[in-house]
Amino acid sequence: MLRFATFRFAVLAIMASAVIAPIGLIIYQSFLDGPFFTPNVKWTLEAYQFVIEDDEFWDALRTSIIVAGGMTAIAVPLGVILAFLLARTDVPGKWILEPLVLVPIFMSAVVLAFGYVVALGPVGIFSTFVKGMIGTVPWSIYSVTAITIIAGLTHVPHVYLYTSAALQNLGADLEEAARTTGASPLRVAVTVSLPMVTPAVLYAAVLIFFLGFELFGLPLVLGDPKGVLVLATYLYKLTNKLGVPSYQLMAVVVVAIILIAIPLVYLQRLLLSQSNKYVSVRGKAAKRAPLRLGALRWPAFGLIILWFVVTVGIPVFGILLRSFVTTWGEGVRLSEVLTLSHYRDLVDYPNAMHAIVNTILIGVIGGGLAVACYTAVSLAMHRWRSGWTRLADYLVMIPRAMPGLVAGLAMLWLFLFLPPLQPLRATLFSVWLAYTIVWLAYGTRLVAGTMLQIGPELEEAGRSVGATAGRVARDVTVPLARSGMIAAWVLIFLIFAREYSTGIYLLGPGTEVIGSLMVSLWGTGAIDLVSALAVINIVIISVGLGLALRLGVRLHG
Amino acid sequence: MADLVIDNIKLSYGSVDILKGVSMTLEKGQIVALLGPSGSGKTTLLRCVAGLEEPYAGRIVIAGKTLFDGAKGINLPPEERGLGLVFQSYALWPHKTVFDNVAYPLKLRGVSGADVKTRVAKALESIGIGHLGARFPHQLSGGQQQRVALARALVYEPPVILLDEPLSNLDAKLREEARVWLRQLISELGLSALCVTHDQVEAMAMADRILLLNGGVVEQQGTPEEMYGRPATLFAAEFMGANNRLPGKAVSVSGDAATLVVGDTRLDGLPCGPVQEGDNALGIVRLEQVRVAEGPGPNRLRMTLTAEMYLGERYELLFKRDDVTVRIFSPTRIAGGEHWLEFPRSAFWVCKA
Repeated sequence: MLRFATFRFAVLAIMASAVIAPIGLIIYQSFLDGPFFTPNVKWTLEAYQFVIEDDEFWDALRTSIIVAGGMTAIAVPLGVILAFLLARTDVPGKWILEPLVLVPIFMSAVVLAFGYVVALGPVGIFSTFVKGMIGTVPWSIYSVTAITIIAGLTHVPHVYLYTSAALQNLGADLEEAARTTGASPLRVAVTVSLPMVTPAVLYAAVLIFFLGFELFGLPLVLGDPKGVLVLATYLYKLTNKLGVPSYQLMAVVVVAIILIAIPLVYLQRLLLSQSNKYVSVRGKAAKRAPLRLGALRWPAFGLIILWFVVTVGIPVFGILLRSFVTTWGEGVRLSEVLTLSHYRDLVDYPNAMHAIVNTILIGVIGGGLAVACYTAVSLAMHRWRSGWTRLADYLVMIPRAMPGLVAGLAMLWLFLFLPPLQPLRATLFSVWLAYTIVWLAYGTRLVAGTMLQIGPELEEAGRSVGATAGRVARDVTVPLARSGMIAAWVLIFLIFAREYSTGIYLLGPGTEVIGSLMVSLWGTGAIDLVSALAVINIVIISVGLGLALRLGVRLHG
Repeated sequence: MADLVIDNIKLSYGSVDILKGVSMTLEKGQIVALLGPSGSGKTTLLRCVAGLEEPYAGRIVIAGKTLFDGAKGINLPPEERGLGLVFQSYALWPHKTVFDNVAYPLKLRGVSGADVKTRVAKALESIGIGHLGARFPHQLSGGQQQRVALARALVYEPPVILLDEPLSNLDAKLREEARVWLRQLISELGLSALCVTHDQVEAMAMADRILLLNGGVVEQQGTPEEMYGRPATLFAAEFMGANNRLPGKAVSVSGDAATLVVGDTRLDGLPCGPVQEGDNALGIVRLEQVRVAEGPGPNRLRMTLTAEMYLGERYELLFKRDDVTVRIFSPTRIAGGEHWLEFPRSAFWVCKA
């Protein structure tokens, strides 16, 4: 019989190889003078020298820092205000606002970017309307400023999530105590509630800054036309820089990205454990009366709706409209250009049909399999009193430091490098494996969190009546975690259906998914097809979101 | 033959010592209560026996079978110990019915389907919940859940059952009934039981022997009568009942006699723990042992009645003199003013403060 300890070490070993192999290959490649598969390849530092001497690299790095810093400065205050309004005040329509606020998390960044271009671009739907009225378009969508603002607005939900969770954990008695000593509600908010949630806000700020370095879709769509590069798009463009596949240069950029990301991920861990310390001092979570906003109720409601309209409404409306018209520009009348032909073209375009089927497959079946993997990892580490769990913690952290684009590249190389894997490269398996590894930390936390909620005595009872650790896992832990695992499946489905960057380097016949195909088609200017595909992606995500709400899945892990 | 032998068990969490060498035996058919305040290590000791905590030294043997031996590196996992454990929270599996909860240990032991049915039915019947088999735990009352937890721990006839605060989740009224029922059941079935509790009344009512733990060491062990009537230390004296504390100075301590001077009065009693002449000492006496005397005499103290409380079956009276406070029980009210209180020599313990 398989001993449970054997299972634990086996899972740890598999996870270690799945995480370390790609990153090891990248580091190895970065010290070579050519692609690792060419004969007579030699060790050298030339690639590092090339990148360090390349002005474009430093420009990209600088832009990345500006964008990451700017979007943090926008997302954090907005997110905190939203969290406070929804968690602590009597703002109207909470039941609809609460799920609405989370929607941007599940929207593909490229879909939103395309939407902004067709809605607010130089000849966009709203731009032409404004131009018709005042004679000029008073904004430019293709700029670092626009990228920063849009990225800031779309990342508000992350700040909202952590802040509102912290606010809800805060015992009502702590605030009531302040009220009884004579503080006004606003004063309580500023002097008691806010300081208590500071660790959570700080954590969210570091997270946003970190995500800023990972930005790919937005800068690709909005920065590229004006030659604005960030680190991820610099990496993407590097492919053609020398005319030949410059694997070693890409590897060096990846190493640079990971070197920047690792301290940020580590800082997040540190802050998270810090904020958990605050949770332990919470008082009783009783039902509390919300703060009355009075005349400000509707303006507050309006603020949240305005944010949502700008962040999701405008781009989604833009892309939706664009997918049903033949062309758009000044002087075009809607009734003359309406058409369904883009969708018909989609049906005739085999790659697009493959992409749609593959996206659903990878979301539903791949999501299920990924949750199975995350469950295995969670079970293996579950209540394991051993130093090995720390190793597992760090292993899970490594893919967090790899943006999806990088993970996809690493996976491609791995499939080229290892002969037994080569036949699988052009199959959906490679995409699935890359997705599963990229989201390892997120998925494992979802499932492990559910398992930790099971009282330890329920498992100990199993052991004491004679069940081995393995039997207890099968008969007690997994059945009791089932609803959490189903919720994780829905969330992973949403994330896999939304994913685009991880699939880009793996894109080929047999591995098309909507996200990566859209990026590739956008590059060829096939905006008609892209807008139709984007709408289909939105529909798939909406179905998933509807299912999640129906099942009562909490949209935040 | 002793059913359970615990020999010099030591356990620590990191640098914090939880158990500092605890030894005890449990004879067949006995109930031993592990008593102590929170943090004394009583639950940890029970979990060591169950195999849920790992000591770093000592030995645990049940019916001749070694479960743990620090020196030989033996540490059987919980499932190979074959003990019955009833959790404080009952730990019934919420996704299984009552029947399935109780049947699970039998299934693990490869008992055939028909046998499982009869044995579970018998177990449920014997504790009076035969009709609840199809229910889920959340559909049961606290008392019923406790019975199911017990049935699950008994159904495979373990040599020893371990009970962790078995009554603490029941409300006060139910607790007294359950205490009687549990005591009867254990003696009827001829079980050996180790029971953790923080309530000395519960321990005395249920157990044949009590092991009083304090800070990871055994403070005193013995029968309930010994523990209550002849405490060996100040801690044991104070933990086992409701007491008066009279601060004073110990004079003339010899063998089985000690005298405490309170103010200008000499009170004779028994020495308790390591007390010496000249020590600052405390006189400890149970509330029910103090009585109001007619007038002055040996071992009597003149005190003023300052408050009285009606408790239903009796009164509790509060007396004061200087900084000394004494509470006593009385069947009737008494007049206000000064009274002589007598502290019986055989129930007055002089302990080092």
